[in-house]
Amino acid sequence: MIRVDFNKLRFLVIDDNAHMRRILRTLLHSFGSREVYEAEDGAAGLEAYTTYLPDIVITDWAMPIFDGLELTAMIRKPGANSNPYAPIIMLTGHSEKSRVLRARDAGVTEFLCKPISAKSLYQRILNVVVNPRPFVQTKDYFGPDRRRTQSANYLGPERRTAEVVELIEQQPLYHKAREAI
Amino acid sequence: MSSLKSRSRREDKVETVVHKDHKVITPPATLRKRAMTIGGPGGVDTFDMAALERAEAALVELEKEFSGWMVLEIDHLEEARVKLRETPADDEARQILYRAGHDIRGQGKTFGYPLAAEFADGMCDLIEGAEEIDQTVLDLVDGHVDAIRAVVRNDVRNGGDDIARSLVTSLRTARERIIGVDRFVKINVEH
Repeated sequence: MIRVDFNKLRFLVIDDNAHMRRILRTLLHSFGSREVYEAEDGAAGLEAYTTYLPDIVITDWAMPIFDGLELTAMIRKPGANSNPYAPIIMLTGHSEKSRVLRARDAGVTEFLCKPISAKSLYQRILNVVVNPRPFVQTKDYFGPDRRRTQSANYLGPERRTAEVVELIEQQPLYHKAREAI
Repeated sequence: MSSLKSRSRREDKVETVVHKDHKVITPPATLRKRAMTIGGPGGVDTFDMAALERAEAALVELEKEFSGWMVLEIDHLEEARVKLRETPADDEARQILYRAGHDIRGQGKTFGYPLAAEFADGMCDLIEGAEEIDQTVLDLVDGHVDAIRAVVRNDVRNGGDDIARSLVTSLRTARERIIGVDRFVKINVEH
């Protein structure tokens, strides 16, 4: 059995609706989380992100000031904060295909349509913990690899060349930043 | 043993493979290392059902609050509807009504009112899809808001209620005259 120790994870929930924040907090605490921070709009969410350095972000899409998509772009912006890699789960009432693709292209890790259920939330969290995806940086994208699986039958446009030029290893900045909190 | 150690060191670092036109960056698998354990009953493809059952029980406990929350959501919707009627050209008023409807679209079913979620979904599509908020759109917004209020007032929790279904159909037809038939095609995202 795979088990996620939720008490070792720090969550940030961003939603302008207090009822939805309460539902999410209830679910996360029931899963075993102790550290659940909340923000009620995109701007407060970004501030909380840089202050608390959460392990996992759960955000709504439609919010005042700036929305969940803009927030995702700001978190993912290379060099803008010490951890551009945190998993972002977008929890939204939108279910149009075009919206799902826009969220993916902004760098969202998982997409979850409302109405929420304990099982669907648990599965998304399990997935980001157990199966982290590499990140891809191109001239117009930075985020989790949008190809979840390698398909030998892939027929779409080939947007990347495979030739390796260089291999770089470096210490992540956010380890030090998080230890300082 | 030494290869395990070197692998562990690598997992602590960000590894970047630079290709000609893109980079593939592998962040450290920090969360997996810190929070994932394998063991106990069941195979490696099963997960912790006890945690899930605890969460579902907590959600059932919270259900006592849902009817009251739904009334508050409707109050927000009503305020936003009045504001848009007063200032139909104000984009902020339009956004506020959209967000109030969007909350019900997302939560109506959780709160036990699937039809309210369905009417709110249509209202959001209308507000987003209409080129301008004219009298026809305002009247149709009213139709959706009144339907949501009626569903909650009469405590209609059955998504298949005949009278409500016929109202869903007539509102959709009226909406499609304004925003078209396939402007907002929804997909089923697996739950």
